[in-house]
Amino acid sequence: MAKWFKFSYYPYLGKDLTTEKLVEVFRPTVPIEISYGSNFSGEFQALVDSGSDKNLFPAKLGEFMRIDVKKGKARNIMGIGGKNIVAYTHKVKLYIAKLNFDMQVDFSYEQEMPLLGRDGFFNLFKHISFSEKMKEVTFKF
Amino acid sequence: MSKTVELEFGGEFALWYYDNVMTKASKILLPYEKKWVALNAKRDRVLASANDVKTLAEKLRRMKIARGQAVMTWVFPFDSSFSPFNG
Repeated sequence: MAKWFKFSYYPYLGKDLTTEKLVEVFRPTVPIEISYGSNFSGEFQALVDSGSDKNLFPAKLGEFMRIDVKKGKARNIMGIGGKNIVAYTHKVKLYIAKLNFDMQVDFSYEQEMPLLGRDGFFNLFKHISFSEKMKEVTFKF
Repeated sequence: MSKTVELEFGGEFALWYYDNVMTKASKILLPYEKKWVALNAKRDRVLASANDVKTLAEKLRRMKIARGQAVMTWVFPFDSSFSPFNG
């Protein structure tokens, strides 16, 4: 039988497009931590993003963990609107819900929100499902 | 009418109204649009903020806040929907 864990979406703020008032916007961010050697990031919220091919984190997080970010393999990443950014790939350890995995992360100076993508995160699990109604994301492993 | 639901959250439970009424959890983010913030373990108080995650993590280290006692998050912009790469 598959083991599982789940997190609720986290409430952020956003403008209601019809009323212009600030309302809550629940997004599927989950608390994770990464380490590089003996350096730990501290816990942070990352967006579970099925639209991202790979994991993409802010380069400043890598710098905090004493990663020489620009020494990683450089790659171009295209996003919404065809914008290209440069990112540098490094291997780190991921900690989520008392589990840990080795994974690759692309670090970019042009990205703030940490994104957990399909190759490098989704493929660590048997199944990831989102419930917009319950505002939950469930992981089976 | 507002609806109260119980949501599992990091092994703890929190009561949140989620019918477009700002709750405490999101209200505390109001002054921090597009900044990084560190929240306490219950996510009901901002411990520190900074323009980037490196500066914030260094602040937490200086404040001697132990691992597990804070969680960092980037505060999404309020006036636009989010798609990756608008950071």
